[in-house]
Amino acid sequence: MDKKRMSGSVLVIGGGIAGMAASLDLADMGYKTYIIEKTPSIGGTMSQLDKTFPTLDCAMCTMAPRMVDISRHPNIEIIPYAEVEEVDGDIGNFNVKIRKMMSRVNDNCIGCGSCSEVCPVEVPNEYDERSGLRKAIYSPFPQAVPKRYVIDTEHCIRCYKCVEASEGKNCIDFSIKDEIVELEVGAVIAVPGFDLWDPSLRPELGYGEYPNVLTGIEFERLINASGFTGGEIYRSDNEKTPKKIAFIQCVGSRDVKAGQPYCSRVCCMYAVKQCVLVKDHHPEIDCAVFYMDLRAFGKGQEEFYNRAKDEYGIRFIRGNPGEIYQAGTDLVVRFEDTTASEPKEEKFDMVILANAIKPKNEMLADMLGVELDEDGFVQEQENNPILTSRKGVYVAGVAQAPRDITDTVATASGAAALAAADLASVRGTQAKEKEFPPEFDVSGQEPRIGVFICHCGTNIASTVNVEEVRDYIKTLPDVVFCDDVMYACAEDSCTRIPEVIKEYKLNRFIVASCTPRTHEPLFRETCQGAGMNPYLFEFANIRENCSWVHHNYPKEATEKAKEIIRASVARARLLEPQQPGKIRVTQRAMVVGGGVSGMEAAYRIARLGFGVVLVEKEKELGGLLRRMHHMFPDMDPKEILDEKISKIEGEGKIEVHLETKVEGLSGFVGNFGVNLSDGAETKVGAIVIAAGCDEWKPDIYGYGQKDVYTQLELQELIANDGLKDGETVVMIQCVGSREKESREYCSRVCCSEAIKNALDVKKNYPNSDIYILYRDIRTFAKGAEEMYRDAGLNRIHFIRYDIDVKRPNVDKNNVVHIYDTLLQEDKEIKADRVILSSATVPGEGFEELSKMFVLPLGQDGFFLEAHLKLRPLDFTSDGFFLCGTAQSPKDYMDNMAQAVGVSARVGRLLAKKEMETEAAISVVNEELCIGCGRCTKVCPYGAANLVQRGFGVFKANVNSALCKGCGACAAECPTGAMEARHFNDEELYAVIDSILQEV
Amino acid sequence: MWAEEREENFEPKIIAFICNWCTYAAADLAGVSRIQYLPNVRIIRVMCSGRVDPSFIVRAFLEGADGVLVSGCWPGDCHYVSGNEEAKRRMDFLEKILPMAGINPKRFKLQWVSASEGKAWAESVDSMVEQVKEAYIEDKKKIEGLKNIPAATA
Repeated sequence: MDKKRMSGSVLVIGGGIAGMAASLDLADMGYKTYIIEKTPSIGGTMSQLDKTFPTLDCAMCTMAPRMVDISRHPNIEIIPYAEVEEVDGDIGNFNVKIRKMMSRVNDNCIGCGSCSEVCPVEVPNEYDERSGLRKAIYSPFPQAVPKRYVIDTEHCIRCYKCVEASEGKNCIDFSIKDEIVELEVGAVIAVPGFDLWDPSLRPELGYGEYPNVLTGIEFERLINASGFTGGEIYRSDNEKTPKKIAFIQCVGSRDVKAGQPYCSRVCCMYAVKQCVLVKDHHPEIDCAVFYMDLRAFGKGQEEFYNRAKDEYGIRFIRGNPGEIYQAGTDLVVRFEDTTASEPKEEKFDMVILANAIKPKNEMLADMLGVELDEDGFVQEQENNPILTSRKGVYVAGVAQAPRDITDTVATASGAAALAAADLASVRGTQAKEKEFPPEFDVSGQEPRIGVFICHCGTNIASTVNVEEVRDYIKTLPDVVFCDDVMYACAEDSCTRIPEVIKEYKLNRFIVASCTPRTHEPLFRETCQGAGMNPYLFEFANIRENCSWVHHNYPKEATEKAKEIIRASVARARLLEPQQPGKIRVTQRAMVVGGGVSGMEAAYRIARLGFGVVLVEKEKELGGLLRRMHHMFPDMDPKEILDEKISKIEGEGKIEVHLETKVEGLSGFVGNFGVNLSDGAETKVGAIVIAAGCDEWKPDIYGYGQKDVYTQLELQELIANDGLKDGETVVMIQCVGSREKESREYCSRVCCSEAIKNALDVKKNYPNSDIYILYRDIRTFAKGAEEMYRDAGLNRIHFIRYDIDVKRPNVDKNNVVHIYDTLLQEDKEIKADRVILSSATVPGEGFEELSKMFVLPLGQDGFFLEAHLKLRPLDFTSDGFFLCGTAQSPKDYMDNMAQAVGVSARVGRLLAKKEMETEAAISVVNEELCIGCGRCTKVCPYGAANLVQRGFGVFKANVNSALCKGCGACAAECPTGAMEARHFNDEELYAVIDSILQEV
Repeated sequence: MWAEEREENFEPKIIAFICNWCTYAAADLAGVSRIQYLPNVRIIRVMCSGRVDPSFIVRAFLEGADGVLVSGCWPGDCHYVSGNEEAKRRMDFLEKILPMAGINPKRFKLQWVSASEGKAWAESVDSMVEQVKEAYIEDKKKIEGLKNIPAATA
């Protein structure tokens, strides 16, 4: 490849959450990134969602800051309302032709919306799944990025009222035609998202015939506060709130006849979530979920499902309804309750169908020539879900298989990593740095404070009377400007902040909305855009700390919101500008754990051009993979292992330490000092925790008796021909998993693992009689549902049990006693071999690592990521990352996605030679310091030291590169000489006084 | 005395100094999970419970706070290694001297809440409100008792 001609830019096709995540990673790593989006705004399906499972985070609240980040990133260019026409060329040099559709609105648009107001045309709104209405000139949703209106030329009647309304802005131009733009890029990431199967193809379910039979996504828009009913749930025919809602799962999924033999992977959890949301709004509405197997396999999902059952009283009925018909205003669902073996009918007034996810990969196949599998998803290569058959073209999200947001984001980072690795030699050649205007000086000025109070749609405004709060805050001294906004984090609001700062000559700014933990960086940067020092920004949290937790106290919550903001005003008056220091970044990473995830992560980081120290506590690399002999659907672990080890050896940038543990850690992000047990001392800029999981050693179901094994032990037996033909093999699922008292989580891999092993036994010993005792079969992964079907065809018996009815039991003679909930009868099976699908448990080193690196573990004992949906590969502590089973149990493919993905997260950090240090640190006023040294005793980082200032005169001194700004020294200082900047005594006293002030 | 100045069905106002990394995260979690708790608490976010100077608590009581809650990461989990241990040492000392200043010790609490314990945060607020109300009743009784003592004859 000719290095000179390689392009340092990447094309991302699709602006959904996958495209957004990939672009941000690439742009931060120093690549120019183009996002092509077919609709007028980025955001994709996630922007349509209300809350996300299982944490019930508001989807828009978590993604809106990212949308704003993208819109301001100097290395990202969004090309909305456009489609790719042609892709030529090869890895390193693709030529792309893009058709920008005629929007008839030009760059003069400021998103004021006056055109839309006067437009007389109303058409069904795609954003509301065609339930609500939009105009012919429109912006799809309030937080749209870019906030530029477009004219839907198909429906526009050319009345030119919009042109009149836009008076003089010259923003609407009917002479604009489609435009072809040509780009040169080095790599392509295709994230087309997905389609949904048309449920009217199962006419017996009445979709399209009865108005109150909706699809899952239609219902999502109905319950969303930003939806066409404002979140009010009512029936479209009589505008009454339904009393009973049925949720029907697997509509078109797991259905060979319908054309989707696979599991759509997200429907069970979104149905559970929607039930919980319904119950939150209307506890009196009865919700029933009709399912075949409830697949709550991801992190936190089983726990969420249990809460839905136990706390919210949602009914789960095992049965697949065969027919829905309307009787009067009721919808009658006919089904067989398979745990009672009887056909039943039940009346509902609304039915929600979880229709299947379908691939949307035509463009990938036709234009990029990427190979698809028989279901139309991208055929992955080299057992890596991100690699396609065309070099330089990568996919993420649902392109390769159905995925939830967490897994989508991991693959998106992965795609960014692979594209970046291809173009490592031209990194930075087309990138720009973020630039801010010079800071204005506030010294000696009287405070002039501006305040934005956010409605957050209805998240705040439904509990807190925002207008009343606004009017009160306006009366406070030094508040020069105060306004309420629908979404403070939306692009239009963020554009307004610098404007009002300039207009009102503000020198402090407060946003009263949500939590600083997620949104502070966004608003600080926004203020910087106006030349204001970011530390002159103050955050008031009136959502997490107020509206969301005081639903039942609207009056008190409103008063509380006033006090919260009043205290912020008091603090803002005293805020001072702070300046960060700069430190050099050690452009090298350490990966802890040499299993497959750790090896892949190390290899991928090295491919980005950075050195890696790979630390493994065992004698050889490989981790749990060494104990495996065959992986589902059909992979050879030995082959994979050999290949990975040779890649690591061949890479040249990876230093492997075997039989080694990390013994000491010093320093901070960008500059960690690490001591290893083999005596090595090294410096790294980032640390990845890839410490894998273990298989639980069961203490139940007769484990320890002869012929009772775990699944891993069974693999060993099969490999060594340790079974005999004609034996009865009984497998028990969920051994130690899904147990509220011990491990509430689902171990995610055991169903597929058991079925694969059962098929292997059957293949090698055709006369074996195999039973799998299960609670729900969770074969959600690509190829797994097909394997499950295969097992049925191979006469493997599946018996369902329910621990709430009766637990199975293995007696001393290996006779398995089980109550079959589908036949409603007790059974006894004399087993020659009992195989326990034992839980996946946190590795034994987790606690030690957690202590050493001060990284949190979740209640399940696995490492706790920064954000389950959008930051699954980061820790909240800067410089630390995680991947693979350290985060939660996963299969090989999902581990690969995370391991490749984490390299992009590390790459973002290491790509910069210099980084800024914490600005809010401690400083010493030497006049007050008596040199007692108490600060040096409480400082955990050795940042506070005594220095000699004269004969016998010692003064405290703070090393600004080491100080993290915890403030322990300031609390300890007996004279007030130590000041914790940005959290100093005066500021905190002012806050206390303001809260307690009598009004 | 404090209880004397309060109304009959009084709702205490509680100041909570909480650390950014554990308890504030837990409060966020309570928020996103919509776990409901009493609106009596006012949160003051500090980076670490180790930042909490006992003088802040004294200041709060002097300015009329009915209760003060200090909360941070569990021992061993401190984001800054050991700040919560410093907090514990200082708060233990403070707890000893509060009664000497005539402040019912029930009006003060130090509580560890981790980032994953949204529910625990909500419960600790609710129980603190309860606890302060108990202190109110106790102190009220004390006042009644004092009134019933016949004037001392010298």
